[in-house]
This record gives sequence, structure tokens and C-alpha cells, in this order.
Amino acid sequence: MEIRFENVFYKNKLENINLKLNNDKINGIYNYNSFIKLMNNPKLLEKGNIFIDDKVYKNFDPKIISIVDKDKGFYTSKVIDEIYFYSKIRNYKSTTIKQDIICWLKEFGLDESILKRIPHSLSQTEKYFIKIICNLIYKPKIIIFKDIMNGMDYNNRKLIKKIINKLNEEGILIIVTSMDSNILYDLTEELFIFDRKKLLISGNTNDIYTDIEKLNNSKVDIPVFSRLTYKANKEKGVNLFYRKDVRDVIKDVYKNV
Amino acid sequence: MDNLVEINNLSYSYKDKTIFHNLQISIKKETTNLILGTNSSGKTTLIRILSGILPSENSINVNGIILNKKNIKKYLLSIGAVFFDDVNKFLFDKVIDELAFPLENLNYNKKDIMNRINEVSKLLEIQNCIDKKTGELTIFEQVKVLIGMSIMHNPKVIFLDNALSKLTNNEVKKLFKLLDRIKTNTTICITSSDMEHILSFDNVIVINEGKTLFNDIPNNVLQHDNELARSGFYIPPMIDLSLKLSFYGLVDEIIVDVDRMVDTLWK
Repeated sequence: MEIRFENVFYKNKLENINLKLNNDKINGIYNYNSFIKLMNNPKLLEKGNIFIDDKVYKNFDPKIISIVDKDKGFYTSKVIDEIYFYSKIRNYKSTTIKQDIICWLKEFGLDESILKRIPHSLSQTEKYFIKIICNLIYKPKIIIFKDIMNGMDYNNRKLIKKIINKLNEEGILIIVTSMDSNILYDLTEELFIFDRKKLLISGNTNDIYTDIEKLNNSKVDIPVFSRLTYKANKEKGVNLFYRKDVRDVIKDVYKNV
Repeated sequence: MDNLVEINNLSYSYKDKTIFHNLQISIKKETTNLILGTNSSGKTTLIRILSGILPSENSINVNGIILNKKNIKKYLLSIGAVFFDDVNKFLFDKVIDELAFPLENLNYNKKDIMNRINEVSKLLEIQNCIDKKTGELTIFEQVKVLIGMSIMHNPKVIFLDNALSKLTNNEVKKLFKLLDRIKTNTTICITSSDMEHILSFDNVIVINEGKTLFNDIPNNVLQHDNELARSGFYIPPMIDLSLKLSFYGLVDEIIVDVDRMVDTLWK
């Protein structure tokens, strides 16, 4: 599965964008609004082309692409109806749909009794998880998670990370979007950073966040430990390594302070 | 400072699940308070109870008014509440109508309503939003307008459920400057599962498994980082680093600013 942008222009928001996302790796997008708008409605495209698996992407195809957006409301008055509704409008039919729902509920640590509840009575986290399940059940090939970890505690961050990895292993093209570079650093392998109409940088996430010089003149968010390492190296002459884990940073600092 | 809000022995269950068991919380006047809880810990439920949407009898006291059936009207005049995760946050097309609505409901005359709209919009720096359509507002403007609505009737306390989750760090900084102005009249309580902005608050109330785990200033709460982590809280990287470096005696306060941290470690 591959999404390809070729010389894409969109209003005064994107200018001559060329990029390629595929399902080999977990993709991350920083400053994602215009990207999501175009994926949701390719007719907005002014110039250039978007391809999905080498076919020109002209109309949003909800059977293939799913955009998980926490801020979207519920359409029905019962959780089970909501999950079926997503499949129904996509004409998705499967004999295992009920089992699939139960498997996903287990995966998210939710009890089966939630299916009978009114969406309004759910906690924000339960709503988010049900919304993810609604989007997984019809087996889309591309899933875009908008603002993925927003409002999640430690355990749920771990859980979502596990599920994202699992979906990626199953061959789904995963795109996670966030304005928090720490989340993108932790979660993604391939990163696309948009800044003022342009694709500022793209490539391996680790490479991007350990080569801060390129990001330094922009307004984009930089992971805190990368910034700390860069500043210590550059301004204080202290030779720290670029680390993701706080325990490694502490060891480095302890040795060098 | 006196306590403005007192929650005494509040118990609440949903079906078979106990959400709160003898919950005790006190909130001081003229403060900004973070009500911190992990996901599904009952933060929104608590705000619904405090707003009189969900039932409670005689467990809640705001400024001397006890929340019960008899006092509900008087009680509601002393509080304001906003649920930021609700999909349909606005009732009207235009911001000005949205701000006027709480006072129209209270039968204020047009002149007084306009005066208060001008006061509130100046306080929250939303003068340029007044004539806009609600659908045209940026997220930061939406948050400010909703807070504006909640203080139109001059309540003693406002409860803002998940007000910060969609804001950038810069926007949160700007918002706290505005909240500091509001808190002299109106005490502020914001719920969150996120500790990213914990140091911006005067006070932090941590709820866990239906009880109050801590109710203290942010620095004191953060000293319990191991317990917070065990309870499932996500500790933001710079706070985590600061706490651990302070354990090894390398810094003596919590530093969240990267530049300051580097300058402190390598003078």
C-alpha cells in the first residue's frame, strides 16, 4: 500500500509537495491539517496528483481510508449500532464481524457490556476506543489517527502503541498525526514535517530528530531530549548522545556533569 | 485563605461501578486548580456532579451554598461549567449571541448584557471575536469564548472539563495569563489526565480510584512521582528528567525549560 503526492498544491496551504508513504513503516506527520483535508477530500487539490497504489486518487474512498478523529460525534444511540453503522455505510459484510468486535473490545480492555450502552454515557477514553474499533472493523487499508495520544494516560499510551504496531504488522498503512514531537519520536519510524506550506523535511524519524541543525531555524517542535542534547553539545561542549529514554539521558548527564 | 469549594463524603456509582467513595476535596478561593486523574477516573463525572447535572445530596458546598434540590437555582448562579469534549459546544451562529445567552436566561436587560460582554471580552482578549461566527473561531478562540460564557454571570468558581487538551504549549501559556486575571473574582478548576502544564497551577488535586490521592501545590505533588507513575499517570519527559536529576542531587528544583536545564547543569 502506498500513498504518493506528486507536485501537490492546495490553496495557499501546501506548495509543490512530493512525498511517498507506505506500509513498511509507521508514518508520522507533523503539522497535518492540510494533509488530512486532502486525504479526506482529494477534490480540494488544485494542482498535482495524489496516487494510491499508482491509481490517481480522485474521490474519498471510505472502504480503503479511515480517519480516526476523536472530535467526531456519534451517529447512533447505542455502541453496537454505531460499530455496525460504520460497516453498513461502507457496504462491508463479514460473517465474523461479531467475533471481530469482541476481539477488539478485549484488545482495548473493554467489557462486552459496553456494546449496549448509550455513547453519551461513555467516558472520553471509552468513546475514543469505540471510535477506533468502528474504524477497524471494516478493515480499511489505510488508517490515519488524528492527534493520536492526546489526553491519554501512561497505560493507554502503551496500549495504543501496541495496537498501532499490530496493525502495521498486518500490512495496514498507518499514519499518525500529532503536534507533539515527543509522541512522533516515540511512535513513528518515518516522519514528514510540514512547515509553512512546504514539506520541511522527511525521512527516518531517528535521523531527523538527531540532526537538529535542520530543524533549528523553523518553528517546529523538537523532542525535549534531542533539544537538550543539541544545546549541551553545541553551547557547552558536552558530548551527550541522542536518547529517547529518560534513564539513558540521566546516565549520560550524570557522567558528564 | 478560605475554602470556597468543599466536597464532603461524595459517593457516586454508575450501574455496578463505584466512581467515588467518600470523596473529600477542598478548594481555596482565588486559585487555579488542576483536577488530575488518569483516563476514566471520573473527572468528567465529578464536573457533571459539581454542575448539578448528575445527582448528589448535601455533599457539595460552594461559597456556603449546599448543592441540593432546594438550593439548586442559587447554587447554579455561583458556578460556571464547560465540557470541552462535547461535540456541539455552541448553540448559536454568532459569538455575541453565545456570550449573551447566559444573561438573557437570567433576564438581564440588553444594556447590562452588552456591558458585561465588553468586560468579559476585554478580560479574555476576544474583542475581535465578538462579531465572528462560532464556526470561524480557531481552537484557542473557542476555548476563550467558552470560558467567557462560563464567567458571564460572575460565578464564584468555574469548572472546565478538559480545557487544555487541544491547545499548543504557547496557547496554554497565553491562557494562564488570562486565567490569572479571572481568578481574583472566580476560582478556576480544570480537569486533565495530562501533567504537561501542572506547574502553571496554584494547586493540584489528584483523584485516583474514587478518592483524593493528593491535594497540594504542584511541586509537592510531583515529589510523589513514583506513586503517580504506579497509578498510571504519564509523566512528561522534562518533569521526569527533572525529578530524577533532583533525586541524584544534580538540580534542586523542577525545571521544564530545556535551555534553563542545560544552563543549570553546565554553568
